[in-house]
Amino acid sequence: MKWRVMELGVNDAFTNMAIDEAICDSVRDGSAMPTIRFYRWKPSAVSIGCFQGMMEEVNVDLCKKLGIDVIRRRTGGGAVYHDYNGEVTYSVIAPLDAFPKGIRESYMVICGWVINGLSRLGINAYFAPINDIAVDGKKISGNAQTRRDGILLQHGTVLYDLDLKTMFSVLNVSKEKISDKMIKSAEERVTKVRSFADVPIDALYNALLDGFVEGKEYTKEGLSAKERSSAEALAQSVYRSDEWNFSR
Amino acid sequence: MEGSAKQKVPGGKLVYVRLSVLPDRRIAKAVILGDFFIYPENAIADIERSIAGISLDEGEGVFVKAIAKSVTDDDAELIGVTPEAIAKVIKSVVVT
Repeated sequence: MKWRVMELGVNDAFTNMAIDEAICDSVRDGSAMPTIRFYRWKPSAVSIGCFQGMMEEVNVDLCKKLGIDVIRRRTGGGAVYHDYNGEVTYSVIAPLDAFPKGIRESYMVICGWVINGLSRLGINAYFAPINDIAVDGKKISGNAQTRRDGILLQHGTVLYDLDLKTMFSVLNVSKEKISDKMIKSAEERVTKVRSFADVPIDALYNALLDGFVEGKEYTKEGLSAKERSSAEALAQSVYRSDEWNFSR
Repeated sequence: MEGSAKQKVPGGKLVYVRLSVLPDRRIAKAVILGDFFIYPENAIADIERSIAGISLDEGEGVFVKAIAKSVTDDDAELIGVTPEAIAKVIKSVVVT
C-alpha cells in the first residue's frame, strides 16, 4: 500500500479538523491515497471530544479573550489544549482493512509509529491503553480514533512543551485547583519531549515523520484542489458553527 | 426537574449524565457526556433515547438492560465506558 505524507502544516482549528474530514472523503471515494498528515494549530486552540459538553470542559469566555479557538472533534476522548508552541499533531486516514479489526489493536499499531518516532530522539515511550503514550508513567501523547463508512481516522498529539498555566485556565478545572499543588500534580502525570531532548520542534516533527514512514512506500504530496475546497466548505458549514461546537 | 452526576469509570473514562425528569420521575431527556469512545459515534443518540421514559426509581438493572439493548441494536462498541457504568451514574443523579 502506498501512502501520501503531508508535511508539517499550520492551520487554525476549524481548517485542521475540516482537512481531516475532507481527506476521509477522498480516501473513501478512492481519489486519494491513505494519508499521514502532520500539523500544528495557529492560533492555539482547545478541542473537546465529540461526547463532551463544551461549557462543562472549556472556559469559553477566557478562550475568546486570549484568542484561543474552541472546537469539537469528530473523535471521542478528552479536552486538549493545543498550544502552537507546545505540540505536533498527526492524523492517519486509511481504509479500515489496512489495520487490525480490533480498535485497541489498531490504536497500538499507529501509536507504535509515534513511539518509533520518539525513540529517534532517545525517548523510551510506550503505549498506555486506552489511548495514551507514556514515558516513565507520564503521558506524552494523547490519541483518538473514529471509524466511519470503511475509513479509519486517528489523530493524536505529541507534547513538545507544556504551558500548564494556560492549559489549566482554559480547561475547566475549578479555580481552587489551579494552585501550585495542582500544577505539581499535573507535572507528575504529564511530560513533554523537551524534558528529554533539547531539540527544536522541527526535530520532533522530523523524528515523527521518520517513525511513521519507516517500512512504508510513500510520496510527499499536499491536498488536492478538490480536498482543499471541500475542507474550506466543511470548516465553514460545520467546524466553525456553534451548532456543531456547542451541540452538547 | 433536572439533575446531573458524574463519575470516573474504574480503569476507564469519565461519565457525566444530565437528566430532565418529569414530575412522575420518568426521564424526559438524558444527555450522556464524557471523554469515552463509542463507535459509531451517532449511537450515543440512541443510547440517550433508550433511557427516556424509564422512571428514575427503577433499579440499576433496568437501565443497564435498556442501554445494552441500544448498543447491541446499533452494533456499537463502547471503549472506556460500559452500560453498567452509565446506569450507575444515572442512579446517582439527584433531581430538584
